[in-house]
Amino acid sequence: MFFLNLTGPEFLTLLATLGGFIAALYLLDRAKGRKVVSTLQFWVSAGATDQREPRKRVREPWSLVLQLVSLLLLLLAISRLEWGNRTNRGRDHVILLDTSSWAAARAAGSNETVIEREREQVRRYLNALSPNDRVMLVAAASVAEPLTRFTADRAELNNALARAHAGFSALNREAVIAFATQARNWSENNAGEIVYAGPQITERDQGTSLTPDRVLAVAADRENCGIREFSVQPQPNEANTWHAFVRLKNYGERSRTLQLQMHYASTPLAPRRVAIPAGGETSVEYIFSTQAAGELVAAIDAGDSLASDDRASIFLPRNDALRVTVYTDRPEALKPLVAAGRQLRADFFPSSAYPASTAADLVVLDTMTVSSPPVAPALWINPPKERAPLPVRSSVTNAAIAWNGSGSHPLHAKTLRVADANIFETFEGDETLASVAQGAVVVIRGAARNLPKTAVIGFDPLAAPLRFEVATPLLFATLLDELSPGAFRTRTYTAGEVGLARVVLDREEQRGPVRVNNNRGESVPFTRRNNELQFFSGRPETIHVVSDEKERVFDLRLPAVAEHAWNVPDTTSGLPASSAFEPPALDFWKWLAAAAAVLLIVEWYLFGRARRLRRPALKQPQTAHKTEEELAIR
Amino acid sequence: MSQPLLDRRFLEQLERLTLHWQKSFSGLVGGHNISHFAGAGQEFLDHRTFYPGDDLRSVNWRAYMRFEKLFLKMFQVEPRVPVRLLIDTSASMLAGSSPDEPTKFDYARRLAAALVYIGLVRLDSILLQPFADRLLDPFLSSGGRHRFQPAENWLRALHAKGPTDYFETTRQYLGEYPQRGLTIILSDFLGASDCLRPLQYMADFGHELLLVQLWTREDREPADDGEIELIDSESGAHVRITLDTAARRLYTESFDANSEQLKKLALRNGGRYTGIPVSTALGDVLFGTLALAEKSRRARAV
Repeated sequence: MFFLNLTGPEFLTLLATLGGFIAALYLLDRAKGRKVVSTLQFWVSAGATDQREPRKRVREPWSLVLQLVSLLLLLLAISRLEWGNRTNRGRDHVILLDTSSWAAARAAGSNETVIEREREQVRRYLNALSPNDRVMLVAAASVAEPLTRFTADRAELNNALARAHAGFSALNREAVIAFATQARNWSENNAGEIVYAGPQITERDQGTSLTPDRVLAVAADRENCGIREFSVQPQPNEANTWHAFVRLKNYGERSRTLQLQMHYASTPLAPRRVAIPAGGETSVEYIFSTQAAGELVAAIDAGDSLASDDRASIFLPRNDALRVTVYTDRPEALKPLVAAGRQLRADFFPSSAYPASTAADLVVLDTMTVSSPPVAPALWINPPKERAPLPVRSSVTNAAIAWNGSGSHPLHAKTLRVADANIFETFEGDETLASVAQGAVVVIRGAARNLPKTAVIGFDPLAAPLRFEVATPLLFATLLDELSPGAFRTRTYTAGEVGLARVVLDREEQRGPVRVNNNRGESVPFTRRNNELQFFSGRPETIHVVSDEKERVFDLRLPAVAEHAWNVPDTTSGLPASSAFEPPALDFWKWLAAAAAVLLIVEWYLFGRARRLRRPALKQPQTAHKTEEELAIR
Repeated sequence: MSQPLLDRRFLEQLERLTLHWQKSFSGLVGGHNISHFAGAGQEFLDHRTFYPGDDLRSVNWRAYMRFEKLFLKMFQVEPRVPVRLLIDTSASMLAGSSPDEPTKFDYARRLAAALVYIGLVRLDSILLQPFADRLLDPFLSSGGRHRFQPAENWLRALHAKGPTDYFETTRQYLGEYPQRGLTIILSDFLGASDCLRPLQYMADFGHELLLVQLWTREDREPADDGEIELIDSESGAHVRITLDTAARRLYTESFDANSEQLKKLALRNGGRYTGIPVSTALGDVLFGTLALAEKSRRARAV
């Protein structure tokens, strides 16, 4: 017998303490009472008086005995009294069900998938366990996800098994076995086995000493070819031209020749035949031009056991250049500044043509005034002092311009002198990009109410000697970027594997801020170390990595296919024999509790208040003479 | 007790009742019961021989003409008989009551109020006489139903305390009220002293006794168990007893035996006895128990 963590003497001490408490309450309840009555004569005549010294014996000893025995039985029941060997008590097992990407593959020599074979093996294992054994079912992939708590309910475990499905990540055996070990240590019962059920393929060769106690091996058909990487990025200096890159991998032991099919917006591109050696990789590149948005699909006709990595797709948005409408009377001077990059598509109009009916994302107004302000963000170049979009405080001549090297848009250039310039009145929220000693001369004002974003240059940057300085194109680039954020940002699209993703940042990006969001706008945790950014995605989703220079879109829907075989030394394999678990200890706390309840009811019936309820009513005496016989007494 | 002892509706029900007595008492006319004693009544009773000093108006002159002897005519009379209500105000009248029933004292006061009202309706005079270890100050109620309120106020002002002494009470009663009549005693007849012999003296003196014994549930069937110390409510004496089923049964048998002795004493002396648990509704007592006693009396008279 064993009583939870109590030894025999400890249990007896607890019993004696509680028993003494109950006995004290009992004696208090049975203590002599005092009562005022109408007369004592009938008690004397009934012979019930007891003038002796108080008796030392306990009255109604069987009541006390029944209560103490009930207490003993209740304590034993609470202690989960079992009859048997301690080693035969229920044990707590942890079953790691491999739900990595390989679980979706076809099992070797079978038409079933690996996950189906895993379920079958686990069910057999559960049947081999003793009924008292408790099991925690854990989905093992890149992370360990408990599917159940420790439970002896086989129906709950079977339901969780039926709900488990193959995932997209690779098996991280170190993490899942560490979790299983920790969970087993948390359990209050005897520690059981850590059982792994799966194809034993891990994401990398982890030289760890953590191993499961038992392996329920399910061999997977490893003859698989798949897409490991699929990325698209715009061609530099060529608008609407994309460069697609596909990397294929042969995980099997035989060389394969595959046909790679590419589609863009349901339009097939030229298929390629690709030969991939055993265990090798091959890259394929495409360059294509399009202005329309659409889905670019790469697919191979591998026909292998794992179909989830045979197809990848990327959605490409419309790759439009920024539409800039320039109202100027000197277009030749402005063209080198606003029409040089492929990201801009500039239309030039004379100042008298304002407002033109052309749709514009950005308006440049060169040395002019307008009757009605533009609805798009506008860049004002040296507006007349009287009708400038910002109030002009004063004008200066032959002033030295200092560029603002800090702030959200720093501009690093040497100090220049201008012949004359307007100084603007600035308010809270305005950003000064350049200034003279008397005040701001280049100001950016954010959008407010119905007014779009506005930037104003208080001098003529196209006048000599500024037009020959490098500060002028830097100033224009900065202002255009501020007025149309993201217009100059390079976008790349990558279809990658679920799990850990690494991004190598450019030198310009390393100092600036980086945001990592998913499609729902939620922030994704990431780490930055030197020039590398890492983030993790446990399920298929789209992640955006945005810096000032670039926006990288990761469509992580390809399965992370592990490659390394996991050889587990010194581990029991297969299902346990039926004799492996001896009959469990007999747990009869329920019977003890029921017996205690019965005894308490008996005590209440015999000695408690129920006794008064059972007392028969005495016959009432006749209250008046009613018959002649009574009257004859006279 | 601030509430009325009896409500108006109950008083209206009492108006059809009458207090009767069984014995023949001498006295002036004005009562309800026919007396066997001759008197100045209208109904002829008998003849007897004339003795000097008798009222010549009652001589039967026709019989004298025939027999030349003087015979005197005797007439039946319904005399006015004093009704006295003795109310026990000892401390035992407060003892032994449970929370779900009134005290014997409260019950006795309500019963006394009902009997007073019945008497007042018939224009009887009822003397309310409290007692404990002696006779206390009485109250005479007479003059019709509109005189009920003072009697009720007097009853409500009564308090129960002290021991019972039936010998002293009886001695004072016989000396104070020599005229015989109906004596109704409302009491639990429980106390340290014996009550049977004094009651016998009272009956021997010619009073007709109506003994109304009141008891509570605890008085007759104590519910306690185990070792208990009992304290007499009147004398303060205490005894330690061990209560069990057998002891309780013996106690109840002793109580019933005492009640039986009271009943025999009453019947033996031409009186009446009724035992009333205070859990009984007052209406049931007045229209049931006491009425049955009266019905039995009439049956015996026939």
